[in-house]
Amino acid sequence: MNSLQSILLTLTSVLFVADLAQSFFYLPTADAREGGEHMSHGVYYACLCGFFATMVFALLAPSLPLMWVAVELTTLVSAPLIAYHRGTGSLEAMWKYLLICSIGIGLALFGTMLVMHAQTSGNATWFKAGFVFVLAGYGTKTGLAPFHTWLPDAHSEAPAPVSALLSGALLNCSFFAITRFRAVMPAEVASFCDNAMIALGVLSVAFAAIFMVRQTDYKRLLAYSSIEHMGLIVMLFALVMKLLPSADGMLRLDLADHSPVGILTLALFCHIVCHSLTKTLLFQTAGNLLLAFETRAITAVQGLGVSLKGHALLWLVGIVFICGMPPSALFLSELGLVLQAPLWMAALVLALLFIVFAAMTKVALSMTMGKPRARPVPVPRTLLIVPSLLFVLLVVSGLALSLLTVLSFAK
Amino acid sequence: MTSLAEILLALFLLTNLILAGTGRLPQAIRLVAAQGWLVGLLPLVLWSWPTAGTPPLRVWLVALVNALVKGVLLPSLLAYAVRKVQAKRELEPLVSFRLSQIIVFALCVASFVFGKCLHIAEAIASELAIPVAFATMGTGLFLICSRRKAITQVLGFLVFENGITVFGSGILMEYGLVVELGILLDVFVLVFVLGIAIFQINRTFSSLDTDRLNQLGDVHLLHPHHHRHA
Repeated sequence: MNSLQSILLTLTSVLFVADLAQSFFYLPTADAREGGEHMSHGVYYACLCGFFATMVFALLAPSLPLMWVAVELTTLVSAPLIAYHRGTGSLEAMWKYLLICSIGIGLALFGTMLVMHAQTSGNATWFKAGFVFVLAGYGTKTGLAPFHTWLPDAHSEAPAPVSALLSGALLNCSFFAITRFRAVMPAEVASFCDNAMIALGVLSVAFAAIFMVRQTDYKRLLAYSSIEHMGLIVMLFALVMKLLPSADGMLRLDLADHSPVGILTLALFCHIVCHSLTKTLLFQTAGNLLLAFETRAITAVQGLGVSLKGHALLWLVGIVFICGMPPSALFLSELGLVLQAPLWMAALVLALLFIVFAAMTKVALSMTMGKPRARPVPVPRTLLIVPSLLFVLLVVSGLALSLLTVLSFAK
Repeated sequence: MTSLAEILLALFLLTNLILAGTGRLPQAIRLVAAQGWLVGLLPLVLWSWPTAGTPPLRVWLVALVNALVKGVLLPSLLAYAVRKVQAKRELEPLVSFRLSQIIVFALCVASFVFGKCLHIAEAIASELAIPVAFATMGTGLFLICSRRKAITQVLGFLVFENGITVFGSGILMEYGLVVELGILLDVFVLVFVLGIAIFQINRTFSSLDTDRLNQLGDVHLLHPHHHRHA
């Protein structure tokens, strides 16, 4: 088992527990507010547990084709969760999710066949073609632009705990599938694969930045932020692989390693963990705001700082953290990326990150500041428990990581 | 060289062409069922009997389960859905049936040209297998894009998946029993979940036309004056 696998397993388990607990508090209130038909709670929890089980299966699958079976199963088990409330929007989101992801995963199966055939024949062209299909296929599920179209719909229509799990855990699992294929690529196609990943990564951040600037829906804003961060993660991974000296493609986490590879590996792991935790906090808080205001329109929510103090604090700090402000560990990882990337890429990524920062903080400030326009419907205080715990975890881990990094460099 | 495998693969192309030209859902489902049987039979036909002897039990089992799931189980599930939601025809495809047939024919020609360019002579069971696989995948994707009815899109996905399976059989891919059955399980569950979604869409929208499913999306944000939440 490599370090990435063990970290993703731990992360997925923590997020599953957090979202399971949040579902327990969230669903009864959501059922009362939304009215209308909804899935029975038994089926919901069964699907949620099945979702977790298939993600663990995907992370632990012994062979590449078996991993394909597992990743496709994650789609099938999570799709009903998106249409928990049976509205027109959620049905559309579920249909798109099933069809787009299944076609993408179908392409990944085709790519898997090409790569496996290439492994027996040793033909470089088949390796290249296989990796292109795998990247497009699993990239669809990772939410990489231009294959991301299902993601904002599914993340905005699903109930909050499901959105959080989709964004925090599922995207990572399918990113992990790409890393496994990258590890079996021979040296002569390595730079081709890395460049393809960097291109998709930059494109994802660019797409996200464009659609975040004028976004009118705060859950969709978070969804685009996930696309942005998956783009950054893929870029970080490609940079690590470019510099990795040994051909075995294994990532090793070592805090004392101050070479560019060591720094970038640390940045990659920080980014994955911190993005997932912060995004879970944000989606859960967005769900609470949705319950209080019964709308996802950004303009309808104002003056949170007066009307809902606890939620306002979580929302503001969460958004500041996801933009990469210290003490969030995302600051360290994005700093690592910008320092180690080639100049053109660093400049481009910095410019795009600035646009994202401006778009997100504008929304956060306009929602938390000012006078409350509409009186929020009171929501139970229990909804704050899980996001607050995540908040404490984030601050403590961010501070600890920053301190550790500074200390290890000071030596 | 004409053999049973070539005839089977030619039949595959024929079903693709007829499928592109038909608007009657029961007939389309029967065609996809026929493809399911062809997909099931293909590994047995491509098996090199004279040199390798009788195929092991695993090959027989996979062929049988493939044919049963794709040739019987899934088509009857879809036929049940068609009866329940009382959808008989694909009335207004986005691309007319005649034009669809021409496009699918062009896809076949393109796949053969592309297959010739690839020069993948080693480890191929039949020369036709790779082009037919590409043509079938292309037909499936084309059907998904050009049809409105949710059921026809599911059929398109099945055709696409059949194309991938033909490719696997064509390059004599050996996964082992667990993976083969796992892939089939995935396809089965997918069609099952899509079937449930079809019922819900039909009940909520009183229609199966997927172009009603266009409320979400962010393209409006790119226009200078957008008023969607108004």
